[in-house]
Amino acid sequence: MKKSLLEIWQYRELLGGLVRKDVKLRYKQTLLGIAWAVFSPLTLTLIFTFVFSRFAAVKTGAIPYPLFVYSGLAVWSLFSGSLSSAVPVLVNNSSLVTKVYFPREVFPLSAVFSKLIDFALALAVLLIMLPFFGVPFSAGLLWIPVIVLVQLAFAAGLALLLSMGNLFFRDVKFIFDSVITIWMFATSVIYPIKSPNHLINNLLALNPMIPLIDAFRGAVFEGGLSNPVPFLLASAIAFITLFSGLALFHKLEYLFAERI
Amino acid sequence: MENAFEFIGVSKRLVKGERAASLRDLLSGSLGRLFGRARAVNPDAFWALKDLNLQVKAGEAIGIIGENGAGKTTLLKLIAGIMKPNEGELKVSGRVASLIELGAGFHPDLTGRENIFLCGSIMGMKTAEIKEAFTSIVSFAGIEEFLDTPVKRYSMGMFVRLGFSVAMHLDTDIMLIDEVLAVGDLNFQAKCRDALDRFKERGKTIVFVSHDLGSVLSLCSKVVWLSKGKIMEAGEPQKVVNAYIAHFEKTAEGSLRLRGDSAWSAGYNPENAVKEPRGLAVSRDGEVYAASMQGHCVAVFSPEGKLLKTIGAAGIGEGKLYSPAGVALSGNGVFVSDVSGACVQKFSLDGVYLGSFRGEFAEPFGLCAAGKGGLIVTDRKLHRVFEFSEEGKVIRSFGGRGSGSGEFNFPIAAVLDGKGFMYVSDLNNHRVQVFDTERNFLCSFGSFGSGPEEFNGPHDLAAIGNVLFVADHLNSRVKRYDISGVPKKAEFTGAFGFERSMLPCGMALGPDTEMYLSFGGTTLIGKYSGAAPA
Repeated sequence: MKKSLLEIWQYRELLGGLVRKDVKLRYKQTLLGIAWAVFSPLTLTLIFTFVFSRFAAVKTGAIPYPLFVYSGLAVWSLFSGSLSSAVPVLVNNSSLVTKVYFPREVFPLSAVFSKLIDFALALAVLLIMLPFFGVPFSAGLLWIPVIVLVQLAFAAGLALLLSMGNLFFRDVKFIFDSVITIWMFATSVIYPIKSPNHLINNLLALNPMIPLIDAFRGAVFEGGLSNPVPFLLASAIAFITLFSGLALFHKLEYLFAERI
Repeated sequence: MENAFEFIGVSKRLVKGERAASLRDLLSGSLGRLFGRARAVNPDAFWALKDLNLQVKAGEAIGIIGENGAGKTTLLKLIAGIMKPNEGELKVSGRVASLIELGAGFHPDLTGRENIFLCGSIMGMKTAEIKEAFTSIVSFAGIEEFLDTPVKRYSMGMFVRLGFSVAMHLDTDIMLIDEVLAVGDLNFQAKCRDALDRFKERGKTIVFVSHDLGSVLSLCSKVVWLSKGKIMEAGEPQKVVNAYIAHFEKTAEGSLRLRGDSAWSAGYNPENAVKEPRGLAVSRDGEVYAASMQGHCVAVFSPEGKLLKTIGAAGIGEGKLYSPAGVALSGNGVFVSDVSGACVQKFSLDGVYLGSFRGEFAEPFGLCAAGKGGLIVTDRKLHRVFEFSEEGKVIRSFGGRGSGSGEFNFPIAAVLDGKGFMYVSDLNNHRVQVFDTERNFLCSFGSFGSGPEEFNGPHDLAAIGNVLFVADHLNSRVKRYDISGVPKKAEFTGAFGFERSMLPCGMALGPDTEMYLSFGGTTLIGKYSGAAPA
């Protein structure tokens, strides 16, 4: 574990290079360029605002609905976007995996980190929107780096596990595609999630993305962590995922070249 | 001196084809076990390396040779740390760089500049190191003007040059090179060799895998011959290479026994002029002319196997060769058939372009000198044989596609015997047809198969006295016939077989009845004694 972390640290410049490459290539030969990073969640926000204001009333408390949706989508896209690019990343780079030696962790990790740029832009736009909706800036915003760090840990852990899973069994990608959609609707992304059913509530408590998104909203709109216990639990889950991901990945890494 | 790496009883098992590519495979496997069906050992698994012991000192340049599938690349991947051994122990000390595939780390959409940084850091360089070496990398690759062009717009040559250049600037202790030196033009190859020599001088270790025995001999201080995952022989380069070549000449049927001239086969092809040698011709003083399909030229060797000159420039047009297949010496000229150029060109013995025999060719292939300056050409696409006078006029042509007498399916070579009878190897009909001096059909012999009198794709022919030799391409052997019985019958008298991966295609006899053979898909030309009729 220590060895694998040390090795990743030695290759940090490669990690940085791959992140830059990802970002550069994602918006290369597009007209709007990196503006797409903001454009996509904004469009979705407009659609959901339209739908939910016309057809189904959603109670989001003190948070104006458009901001509720936008903030949820910004955090969720960081999570789902980084995972969907991480899942096939080892397979897509098979020529490197089979031919050059370097810690393979850098592939899934760079896929996760490269989405951070998009998130930073989306966040900046969110902050700009706040005054228009009469939301004051608060000291709670200082929590954002902590929350994002926990999310990154969770996403990175899953990215390591899933990219490796997909290398051994290509089914993982298909399963992931379905699960991630369901997962979004089981998370408080576009509506606050609460069920009258006790069983479902217990199940939802296992979803660390709910406290993570809620914590983010708390930091932006309510001046701090309104509900610290679930957030702490989610953080524990996130870091356990990360460390088990790193450990398993390191343990099976030597099989990649021959099983890909 | 310290070991650069050491294999101690290393074995590596690999699996052919896909391995449990989907969950379904895994599930069916586990369910099978659940219901008591014993799971057999994966039938596709094989030992790519078995119980390998090898010690290489720092500063050595070691060459790895062997047939395809011998385990050469697996060996490199183990040293590189891309794979781990199933059994045994492997100690590697120092930083390893692998040139297993040049430009593997390049992304087509990024510019040359961006790719240098990306590829360098993939190979383990620090950004500061890359910055320091940047100018040198660019000038070595010769891509100054294209630095800010995406590499997808690069030519193949530029792409590979850049890949090699980045790799050459790595500060590593062990450099693994897999079959990549044959890239770029001769000029760049010379640069690469210089760079490798300098690398060696700095006391670094090189592991060089190649089929190109000439490069192995000139670069390496030690050679290891691998076969089916085991070391057959290791040690002094020339000795190992000779043993390797001798291994290909192992079986004899009947009375034909060829003996390879090891100096020739080992010292062949010094500057890589010959790639995919096909047709061969030998001059009266024993110089060997070899048509090089992929080298786009005719290479001329001394009887001792030294490259004397090359004829023709790469390309299509007058004096240019693209896929030269056949070569013949007739009168005072060298005739070369060019399959892609659809023509036969004539050069002086010094390589000056003299003219073309255009005829009505589609894919002229085999050439044979006929009498005073005349020429016989087989066209493998029109399935016809053309005969030219010294003046380049078509005297007659005959054939046509089919499997009847006097018809051909891929006539690939023709030869005349002492009586003026013509023998044509009819590749896809797996037979040799014989015609009289007026080119009336006399007889044919051979049919498809691997038996003593059967052929699998007969290629080149050579005749001397009452003896005819046929290169039985896919059967990996040369067969000898007694043709004193023609016009009725040619009689099989012996065959000389090669290892299965050695497919003889071109064949020519020298003034002392020494036999030259070229081998398809390789860069090899062999010289053999023992072909003289008893």
